Formats: sequence, C-alpha cells, structure tokens
Amino acid sequence: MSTLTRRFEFRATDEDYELICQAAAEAGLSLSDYIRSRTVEDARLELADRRRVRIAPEYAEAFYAALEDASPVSELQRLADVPEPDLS
Amino acid sequence: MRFEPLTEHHEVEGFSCGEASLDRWLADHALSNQRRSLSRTFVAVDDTAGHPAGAGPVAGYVTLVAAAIEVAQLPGGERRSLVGLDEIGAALIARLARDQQHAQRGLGAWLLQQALHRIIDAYEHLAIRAVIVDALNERAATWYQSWGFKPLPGGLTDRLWLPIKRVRSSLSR
Repeated sequence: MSTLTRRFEFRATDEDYELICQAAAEAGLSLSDYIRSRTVEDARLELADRRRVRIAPEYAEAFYAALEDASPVSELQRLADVPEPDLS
Repeated sequence: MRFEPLTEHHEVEGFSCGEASLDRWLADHALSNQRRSLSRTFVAVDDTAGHPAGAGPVAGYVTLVAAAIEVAQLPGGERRSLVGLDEIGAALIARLARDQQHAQRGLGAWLLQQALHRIIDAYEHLAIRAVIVDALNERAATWYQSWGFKPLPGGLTDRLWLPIKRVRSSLSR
C-alpha cells in the first residue's frame, strides 16, 4: 500500500458524522479508512464514466495519422486465437 | 460459454472479482444503466450448467459505452486535412471483470475478444473510429497493453486506445 502523505480536513453535520461512524463500524474500518476507501472508490467510478476524451493540439497530427493506420496489431492477433474458456 | 446481454435474471450478487467497485457496479448499477441506454453490459455465463439463455450466475462481464474523442483545434484556428472532424466517435470498454473463482482460465481475454467483436460489428453501422479502454489501475493498464493498446497521445495514463481499423484487421479472419 502506498504511504499516506496527504491530509484532508472537512466539516460535517452531527447527523452525517454519526451516520458515517456507524457505517464505518459496520464495515469494520476506522473512520479514516472508511472515508478514504469509499471516496476513492466513488472517484474511480466517476472518472471511469467520462465519455469524452480530449486530445491536445500538439498531439492532433499524430493522432489523426494513427487513426488511419489499419495494420494488424500482433498482440491483438493473439487475442483472436484465445479459445472459449472451460469453466466446468 | 455464453456471451449475452445482462438481464434481470442473471445472478450478480455473488460476483467477486477482487475489486469492490466493479462488484458493486455490476450488482447495483449495470442493469439500471442498461435500461436507460447509458451503457451496455454483456456477461459470460457457463452454458454447461444448464441455465437458460439470459439467466445464470455471472462469471465475468464487460460494459460498453459510446464515447467521443475531442481533438482540440490547432493554434491559429487552422484545421488540417480532416476539416471539421474534431469530434471522433469511439467505443469505450468502461469495465471488464471476471469472478476470482475463474482466474487463470483465459476468461478475461475471452471477454475482451468478444467485446471487440461486438464493437467491430457496430463499426459496420456507426461512425466509430477508435476503441478506448479504461484501466482501473496499473495492473489493468499493463494487461491491456499486453494486447497492444497504447496510451492516448498526451492523455491520462488510465485511458488506452487503438484505432478501430487496427482492431478489425487484427481480429478479422
């Protein structure tokens, strides 16, 4: 696990505080571990749903050139040969 | 093994891929997002277990989303040869996961193969020019790179891509 070097401080209502404490206890985590793990998880989901990707101007020409490349990718050709897995 | 659209009859509660956010997303959000046409989730189901089509425990899943790549204007407002093509349609593999109990059986690779075949089919009818994959962490990024995906130029490292033409020429027989 990476070293925890950054610190967050934030205020909460009494109700929110009690709710978070109760949920952390239910999860068997300290308050810090609970808030950190849940927030990181939500942040990952938030970022995973970005549907727009921006290419900066300095990379535009290379990107357009790459778009036109139709040559096979050797690694991906191996994927074509992956058999249906047997889970039984 | 069946690769089929997620339905309310698939068993998702016991799914455990080792990444809690992916488990929770399948259990809590995948179907509702699909009903709202925000994403399409396909699941892998062991068809030797006797479950009818559209039902059974989920061994793995992959979620596909329509996305766009915005290519910023060149300095001075001058556009190059592809005039007006500053927003490019793409298919995004937003999530891909397999249950831990099926590890080391090639299920993840098979899910990726099946997902890319669906994207190639869509390419015949839609203006998709790229395939983007979301790598949840460094290990996932390394795995996608092992199949040839590259970081987007100047982009975030968790987003990898390939031109659809290269995907099609690689997987077509």
